[in-house]
Amino acid sequence: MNRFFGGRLSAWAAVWISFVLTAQCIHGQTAPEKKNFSREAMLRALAQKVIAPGYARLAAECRALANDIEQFNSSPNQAELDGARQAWIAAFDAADSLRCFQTGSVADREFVSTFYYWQVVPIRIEGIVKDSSRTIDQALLGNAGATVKGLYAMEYLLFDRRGGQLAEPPDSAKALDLLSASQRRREYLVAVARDVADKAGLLSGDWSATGPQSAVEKFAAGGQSSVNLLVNQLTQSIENTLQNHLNFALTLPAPIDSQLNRIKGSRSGSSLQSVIVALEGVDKFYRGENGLGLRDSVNRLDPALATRVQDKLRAAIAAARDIGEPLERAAVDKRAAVQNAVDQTRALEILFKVDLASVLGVTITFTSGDGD
Amino acid sequence: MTAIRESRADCGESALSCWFTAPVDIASLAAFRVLFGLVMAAGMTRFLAKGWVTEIYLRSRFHFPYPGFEWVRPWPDEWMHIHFVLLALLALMIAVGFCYRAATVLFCLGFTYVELIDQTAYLNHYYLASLFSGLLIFLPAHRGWSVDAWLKPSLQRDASPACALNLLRFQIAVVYVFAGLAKLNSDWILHAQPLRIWLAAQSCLPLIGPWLGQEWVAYAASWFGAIYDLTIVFFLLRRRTRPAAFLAVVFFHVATWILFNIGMFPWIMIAASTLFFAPDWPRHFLSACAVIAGRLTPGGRWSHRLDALAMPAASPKMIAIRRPRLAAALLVAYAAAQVLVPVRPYLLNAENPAWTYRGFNWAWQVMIAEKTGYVEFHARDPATGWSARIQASRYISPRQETLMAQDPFLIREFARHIAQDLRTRGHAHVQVFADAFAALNGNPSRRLIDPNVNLAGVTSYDWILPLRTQVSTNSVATSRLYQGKGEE
Repeated sequence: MNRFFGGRLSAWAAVWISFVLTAQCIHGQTAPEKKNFSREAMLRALAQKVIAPGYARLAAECRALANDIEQFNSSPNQAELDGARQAWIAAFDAADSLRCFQTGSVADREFVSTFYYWQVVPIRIEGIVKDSSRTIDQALLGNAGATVKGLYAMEYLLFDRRGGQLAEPPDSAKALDLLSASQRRREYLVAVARDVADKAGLLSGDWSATGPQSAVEKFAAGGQSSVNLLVNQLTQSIENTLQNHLNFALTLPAPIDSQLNRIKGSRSGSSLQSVIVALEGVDKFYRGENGLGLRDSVNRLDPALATRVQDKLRAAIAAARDIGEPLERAAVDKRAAVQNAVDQTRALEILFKVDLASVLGVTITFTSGDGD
Repeated sequence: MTAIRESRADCGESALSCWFTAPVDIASLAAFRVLFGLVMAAGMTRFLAKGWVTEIYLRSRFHFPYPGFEWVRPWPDEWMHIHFVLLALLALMIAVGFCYRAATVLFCLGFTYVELIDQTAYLNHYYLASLFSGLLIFLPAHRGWSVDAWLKPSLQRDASPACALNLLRFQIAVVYVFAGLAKLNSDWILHAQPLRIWLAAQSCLPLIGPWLGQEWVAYAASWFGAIYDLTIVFFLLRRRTRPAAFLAVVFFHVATWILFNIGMFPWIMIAASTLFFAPDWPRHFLSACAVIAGRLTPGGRWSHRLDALAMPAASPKMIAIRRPRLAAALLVAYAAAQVLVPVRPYLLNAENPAWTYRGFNWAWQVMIAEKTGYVEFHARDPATGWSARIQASRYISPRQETLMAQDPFLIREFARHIAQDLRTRGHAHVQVFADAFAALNGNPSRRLIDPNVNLAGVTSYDWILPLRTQVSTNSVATSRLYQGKGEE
């Protein structure tokens, strides 16, 4: 045995080393820019430069919204209401730019519905507003379900457009009149706004914290699991944008005006904006923000695909912008533009679900099991 | 120590006859029985612990049965869990050689039953486990070092015909050689795919991680993997190269265990490689253990016991083959089947079998494809004008959906199930179409199935679109999509 290990093994080792060196020579040295890349660095850059600033912006916008609504509560007039509506749109934008990443502390703290559950139930909101026996406070909101609170409960209370649902005030009733006439309605709006702002503040705190157990570090240290999570989240967001927004608007039977409750953001007229912001959010994660992004990871393995995905993202965003008016209107008078956005987003979806997932070794929705 | 070694002199006949009838020490066969039983018991326990019984067999309403085995259904809820507990117990019984024949028969049937429930659960090493357990039914692995032989000493034998050991060696050789042949394709050799993708995915591992993202490492690993698979059996068979070859086996399989999610496969293969050692290797191993035990334990009780176990009989008792001609014929038939079945993909396809899945399974096409697919189903009834997009998630689990999307035959099977379901709901003339896309080994995605073929009807040979002659998905118009008026 000793003779074996002394002589033959050295020969084996020599063969193996020459084999490895030959392989290295044939396929050349790795480009310097590739050497600087690491998945951990990419994940950290995304966490620090995309996610953390995104939540900081969300917290700031939600705080501004709560302040504007308090201002409106103390002097309910059209100017203050317009200010609150603008603030709501800004908060909605900030939330939707992170819609493609509904994981981490937002999921751990069970705050997803606060920012993204949009199918509020007017009959329940009106029930709370009319039931003067119940004090409007944090306890009430704590016990209430996602259908009566969060960002979209505020949209329902702040804006004029309605979907003709059970117990809704009639279309002719203006939000300003309803809010001015009811102190309790305004108090409820204030309570919901504070609740949303507090939650956004907590999320921002989670992502700005430092230390080995911080959200940033956990995400960065997650390696392939974090990449899996990220790609799955982005893919899900594209699919959701395609199926539940763009394509859904096309399949709605006429008249659409009586079904506004079925289109996200339609009460505030921001349904198209929601689509654009969501796609731009995906783009931001893909490109990275002043640092590494998912594109860099793809670029190392397949530069042509990295460019194709970027081009397709731009094409999908451009097609969504070309629609030019809220989806509920475009579905009636600009169907070709909506169809074009559907086609572009569909191609993007396949690129993410098949090509990107394949190159990055990511399994979309796959949960467990061995493979060989 | 006198050992029963395989040698031409023992059988005094031709090489072929020697391969078949020469007496060889039963110790190696018994050791394989123990190792196989333990690995399978660990595998079944792991399956239960990870919650895969629920995930794979109980979560979905629909399973993908193999043709002709549509009658194989999972047990209801807790009975499926009990089934796996029993499999683990049977595996332990095989390991200790207790009620061996009954245990191997029941384990083989029980394990194969589980594999037949759903095609999406197919894995090469599960197939190998079924084959090994099937072979063990007929091999006398319990005639030495078993509870059965201890309880009934007349069962005890010291030597078995060489064919028992050689049959298992042949089985392992088939796995390695066909796995090596499958790697001789342009993706593997020229583009280091899919290892480039898989190794890069592990680039976050400590120490070796940064290396794994390097292109040349993927090439080196690909070529080493192909050479290893094609030659390892040869090196294991040669006495002089065996120690280094076994080290290579351990290195290779431990590396794949660390890098890839391949479950029990590395351990089955490491355990099986011991079959290539001299048949009396367990006796040497036990003698070495006896020496160590003698040094560690006072009184040398364990040392004596191990020594007694290791000691070969003074007059070895050999197992006789009762019907040698029939046994030889069965062996030849089995060997022929084991060679012909993995040859199928090369005969059935002008395409890469990993793309068409024609003959892909049961052919040891191991670790050669990174395939990602996506499929949407659209149904329409030409008689009524009704049409809809079908949500696969209403019938199957996300796991099944992911795996189905890679395999055109599973897509077709599912389309037929959808059609059957829709017919019962009043759409008598329903047709089902699939928008299926897939990417293989990092290549751009392409359509997998002709979107104009009604998968619920009879399909011609070309319903699976070719990989090489297609343009990539990005230029494929999607105008046919979303013609449905709603969703089902």
